[in-house]
Formats: sequence, C-alpha cells, structure tokens
Amino acid sequence: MVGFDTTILPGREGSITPEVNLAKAHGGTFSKCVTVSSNARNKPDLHLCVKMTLKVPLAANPDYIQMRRSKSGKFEVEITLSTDKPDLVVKEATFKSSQGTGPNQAAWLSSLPDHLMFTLTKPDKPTADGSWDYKLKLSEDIVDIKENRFGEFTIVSNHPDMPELKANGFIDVSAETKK
Amino acid sequence: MKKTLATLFVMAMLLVVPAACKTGPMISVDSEEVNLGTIKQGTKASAKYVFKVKNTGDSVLVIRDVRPG
Repeated sequence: MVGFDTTILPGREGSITPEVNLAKAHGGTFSKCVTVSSNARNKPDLHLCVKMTLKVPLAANPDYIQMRRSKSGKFEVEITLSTDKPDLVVKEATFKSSQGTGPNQAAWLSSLPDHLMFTLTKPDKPTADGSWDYKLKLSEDIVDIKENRFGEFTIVSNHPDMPELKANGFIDVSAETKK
Repeated sequence: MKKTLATLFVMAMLLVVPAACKTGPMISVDSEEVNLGTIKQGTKASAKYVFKVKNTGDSVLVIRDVRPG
C-alpha cells in the first residue's frame, strides 16, 4: 500500500508514503521497495526503499519442525526459541496431525493433539542483539508411527505477547521406510 | 553606445538563458533508502515512512504510478 501526490509543481515538494504490513511480515531484517514512475527527466523510475528489523516476541527456528527417530527409538527434535524474555517457561507442547499418509488418514484427522515431552535449556547469556536463544527439545511418546504425520505444533509458554506459538511440521518416518 | 550594447546583451540573455535552463521536470529525494530500525512485532500493524520528493525542474512533475518492487 502506498499513498502519493500525483502532481508536484516546479520547486515544490510532495510526499510518497509506502506502508508495510507488519502482520504478514516475518521476523528479521528486510527491505520493502517501491518504484516511482514519473515524467522526471533525470529519473523516470525512482526506487525508494524502507529497511527495518522486525523483532518477534517468540520465534521458533526452524519454523518448520521435523521430528525424526533418535537412537532411543523416540521421535525427537531440537529447535531454538528466540525471545526477548529472560525468564521463558514452556508450559505445554503439542502436535496435532492434520494430514496423514496411508490408510489411517481419517484417524489422524480426528485425533486429539498429542502431548509432547519437552526440555527447555536456557542460554548462559543473551545474544549481541539482546535476544535469548533457548534450546527446546521435543519428543513424542508414541513410538509406533508407521507413516509420515503432517500437522501443527503448538508451544504454550508464559510469554505475554505470544502465549501460543504455532509452527507447521511433521513426524518424519521416511528415513526409516527407505531402509 | 555602451548603453545600447548593454541593453542588447540583457535582451539576448533574456532570450538565451531561459532556453538553456529549460530542464523539464526533475525529481529529487534526500535519501532513497531509510532504515526504520527495530520494531517489535505486535506493537504496530504497519510501518509507514513519508519520503519527501522535490521537483527541482522547471515544469510540472507528474507521478504516474508507484508500485511495489
């Protein structure tokens, strides 16, 4: 979205106001640019860029979670939770299948979210930009999973700005079936 | 005689200078890229910045279109 003056008299000033929708934006540093097309002799196409760093209150990295079977036989994954909160507490972690492969699809769709076991490890100190990168280890109690299960992970924490962090992902058995 | 020459010179300049200065519309902006710094997500729905563009030329600047990219 951008607002602008259509005509500017000689010697006068006008404004061009690009607006960046932050609700749709991901965290991190990014630029949004616009091209201003006019009858200007010097620059018929003028590029204007707005750069910013969007800090999310709580972010999962990677934001697509993939659980694989570990040596213990359980499905596990370790992700990083980046936050501005130095006293983060994870209260609950669940996985809800929304799509399965194979004959049990209907069962996955109707299933209740699985409660995952988790351990949260706090870093010794924050990163240079003041964010705390916690390690969150998730593990699935159910061992007997035969097909990939796609769905949504929900991490419930004590973060007031983002009490529920949602991330898509799947429980990956493809590595085993290949053997 | 001197006065006549001076008058002629001024008249000539009046004819020549505007033609030489005819630049057409010219666009100028202080900075083509601005950094808004760090914004906390959830505190604002959108981020705006007002670029002031000046027409430094001598005829009307018409902005046809502003598009992303």
